[in-house]
Amino acid sequence: MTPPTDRCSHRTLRWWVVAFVFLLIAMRSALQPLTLILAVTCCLWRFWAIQHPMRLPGRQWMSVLTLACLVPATLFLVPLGLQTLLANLLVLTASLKFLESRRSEDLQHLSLLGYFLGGVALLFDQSIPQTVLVGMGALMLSGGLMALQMPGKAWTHQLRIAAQLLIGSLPLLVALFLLAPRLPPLWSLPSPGQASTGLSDSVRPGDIAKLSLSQALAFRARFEGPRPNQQDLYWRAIVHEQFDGQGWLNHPMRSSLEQVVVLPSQGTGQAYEVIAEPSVQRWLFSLTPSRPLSDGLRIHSDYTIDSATPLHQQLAYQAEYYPNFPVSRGLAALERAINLEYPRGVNPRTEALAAELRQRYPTPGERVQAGLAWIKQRPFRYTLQPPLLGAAPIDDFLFKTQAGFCEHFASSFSALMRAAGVPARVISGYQGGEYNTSGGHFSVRQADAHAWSEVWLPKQGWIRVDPTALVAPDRIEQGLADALDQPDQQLLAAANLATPLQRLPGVVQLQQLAAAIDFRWTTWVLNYGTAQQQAWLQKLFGQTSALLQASVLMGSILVIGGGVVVLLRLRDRPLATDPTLQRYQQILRWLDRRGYGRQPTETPTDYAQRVGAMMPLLAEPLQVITHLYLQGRYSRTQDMANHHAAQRLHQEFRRLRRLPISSPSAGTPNR
Amino acid sequence: MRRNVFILPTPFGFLWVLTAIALYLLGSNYANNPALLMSFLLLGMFLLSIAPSYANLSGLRLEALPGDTGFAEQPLCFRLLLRSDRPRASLGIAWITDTETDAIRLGMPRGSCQCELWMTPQQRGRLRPGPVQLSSTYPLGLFRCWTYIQPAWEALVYPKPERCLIPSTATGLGPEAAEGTATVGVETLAGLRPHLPGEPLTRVSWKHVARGQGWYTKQFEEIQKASLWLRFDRTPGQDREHRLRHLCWQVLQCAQTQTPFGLVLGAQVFQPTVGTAHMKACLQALALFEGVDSP
Repeated sequence: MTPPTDRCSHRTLRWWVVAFVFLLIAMRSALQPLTLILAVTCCLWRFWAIQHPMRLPGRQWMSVLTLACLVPATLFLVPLGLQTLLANLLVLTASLKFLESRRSEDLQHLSLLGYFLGGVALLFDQSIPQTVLVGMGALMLSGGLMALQMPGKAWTHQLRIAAQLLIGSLPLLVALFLLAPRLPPLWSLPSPGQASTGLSDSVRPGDIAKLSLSQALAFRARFEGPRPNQQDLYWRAIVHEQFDGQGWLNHPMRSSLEQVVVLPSQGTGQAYEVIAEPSVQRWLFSLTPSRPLSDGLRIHSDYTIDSATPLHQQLAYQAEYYPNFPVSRGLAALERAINLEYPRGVNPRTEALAAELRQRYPTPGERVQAGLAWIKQRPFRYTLQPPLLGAAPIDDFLFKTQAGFCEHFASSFSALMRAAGVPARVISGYQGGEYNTSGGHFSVRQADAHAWSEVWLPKQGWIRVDPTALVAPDRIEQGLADALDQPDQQLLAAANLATPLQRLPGVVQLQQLAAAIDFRWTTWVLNYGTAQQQAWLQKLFGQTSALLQASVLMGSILVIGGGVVVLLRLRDRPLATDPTLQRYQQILRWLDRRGYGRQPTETPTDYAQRVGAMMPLLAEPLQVITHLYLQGRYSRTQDMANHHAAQRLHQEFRRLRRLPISSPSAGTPNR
Repeated sequence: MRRNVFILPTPFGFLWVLTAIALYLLGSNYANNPALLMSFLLLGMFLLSIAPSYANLSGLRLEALPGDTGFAEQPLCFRLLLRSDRPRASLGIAWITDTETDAIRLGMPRGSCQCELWMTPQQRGRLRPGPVQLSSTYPLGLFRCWTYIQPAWEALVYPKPERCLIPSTATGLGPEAAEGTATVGVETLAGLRPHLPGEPLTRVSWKHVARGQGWYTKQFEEIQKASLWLRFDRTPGQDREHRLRHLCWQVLQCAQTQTPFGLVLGAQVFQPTVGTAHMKACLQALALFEGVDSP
């Protein structure tokens, strides 16, 4: 009997080491350097001690070591968030467990720790590559458990059986995934300590320009019907109604406004789906005006849509867009007042221009057109690196520098309009997006962040006005990269080192394909939840109830279990009898009945010769039969050659039966 | 022969399910589907490994190989022949009384395989050990599958030899006492003489041939050795078993020194002679003796 310590030979232990490597790579975003060092040290120590178990620390030392590692870790890591703390503690526990593992039970428990570690790693990153990494880790852990069961076998054999088991579990996995109920969150989500990038509550000169350097994904969107034009994709996120002379902010009184949101009836608009990346914030992205269709979404009186809980993970939601539907045709007095607030004296030249507009153009509509025309006539420049603005930023921008990014234009135009007595505000969000033809979806990145104006005109409601479109129409029609001049493009290129690589033809296609696969993964797998379960149960069975779900699940498990049992029986059934042998034996039996039986010790060839000598009529047929038999016998049962030989043997047999054979004469004794 | 095969989760199997539940709670709470997938994978593997566990034991044929003979309080080997039409892994075989400690664990390829189980009988006589427990935790150690078999072993256990005095030939009073001391002719090797062609080859000393020293024929001569009578009722001992143990030792000593001996055991009488067959017959009689203790 192999003594227990022999189980922990390096051939067995290496399974866990390889599993660890995969899992540690999967945990890379949460793993602290010290934890990693400790994990590696424990692995090396364990290997060094394989030949000499005495070198491993004893019980007391292990307890001391455990306390020495876990207590400081807990204290240091609590500020980093619950998930990070959990991840690091798990890695430490697993490393220490590995260090003290001597028996098979220890290694089995280590496997369980490993599987749990894999699950925790998936909390940090849900993408396909991460899932593959954790899957490989799980495969290695299973291989290790196999190695405990059959230590003598080669690792390839152990791996193969483990892989078979994993793949065999896939039907059950799919059934459970589709049908098992999901519990609602049991405890509140912690703050993972991510820094939020992206839009913010305030828009000041330079805010949006900062974002233009980031290619990070903000959200993805897919339209049910025909996709809108690039220039119509204004994704509303935040509305800024408070102007302090420098920049624009969320107005504190907005939340107390009791404005009613008026939308057409559901089903008359264009449906679309958005998958927002985690941002730690609440705001969501929509085309104006849209009706939110998913649970957990709220629409506000300024027609922004947000989520009830902050986005710590990806969120997928549906909405319906009604192009050309007016927004807030009737404006409440409070809202009007808010949007006309203008701090006097900060930007005198702007106020003078506004007064001029107010005098010359009686209707607000004309004033808006005049304002736009004024901008168009002047040599404004769209650039990422404008000259700095002074204490009167709007004045400096409109009259002095005349160069800036979208937030400058929007901010200044809205300020001008307010000063001219037209309710105006700044909207920040995203504009455009990259269309992925394989996936059929738009990818909107931080670089697509945009700010634009909205003005309120009687009978039309809030109208979008984008001064940037006047100055740099390419920005709206094609995207940021095409609208900038040379120095800015260099700046972009420096920030995004991937750009030269992207010039290669195949790379772009591959990236698009990868993005499309990721999109499918996100919609089908990551966002599959209770709502989707109910939806397809409804479609399939016409009703949804807990009982139905449970019975379909049990039914699937039974069916799959039955399938597994049947497959195992088929695999293990005794090999089908060789058809060639069957036919040959049939012929032998027939000949035996006629008195030409084969002696037990005779080879087929000798037998054929003997009988041929006894009865010349049989000589040639028997030769053919023997030849066919030998041919078929030396191929495997499943081979076609065998079956062909069997078929031809049958034909020869039929011919044989028609021959006039008489029993051997008494003279030739049949021994 | 249909055997009952039992299958139950091991403690590790219960822990496995707990881990799966923990992952399910983790995934549910954070609405993280890949973590839920991990949980369902574990559950799937758990449910799936029932069938291979059962299949690892089903269809295995066991045959008891003929038992050895041995002495009481000495380890005795029992061989089992396992026959299988497919490879099996991690089979545990143990006496039913010793399932925790003494399991043999073996894997076997397609075909047949022998394994040995050892036990130390405490008493003499015919031994039919068993039953044997056949168990397996294949493939992942989540389920333990076991069954009980009673192989048709039969072993003969001789009494434990206990040292005592051997009676001299003079005191032995056998039925032939009236004729005087009986003697038995014993053939012993007397010497070698050169081999003549034509002489039977069975008597050639092959050792010398192998060493290249030439061909010699072994010569035997019969010497008359005085035979010894061993009697149950004359053997000292506290009780029947004690006497049998003394007799056993005596038989072994005689056989070792090639002294011809006869045995009187109750109604059984074994005529004096030498040889392994005689020794075995006597030992067997000693092992199976059921006679009453004589005063």
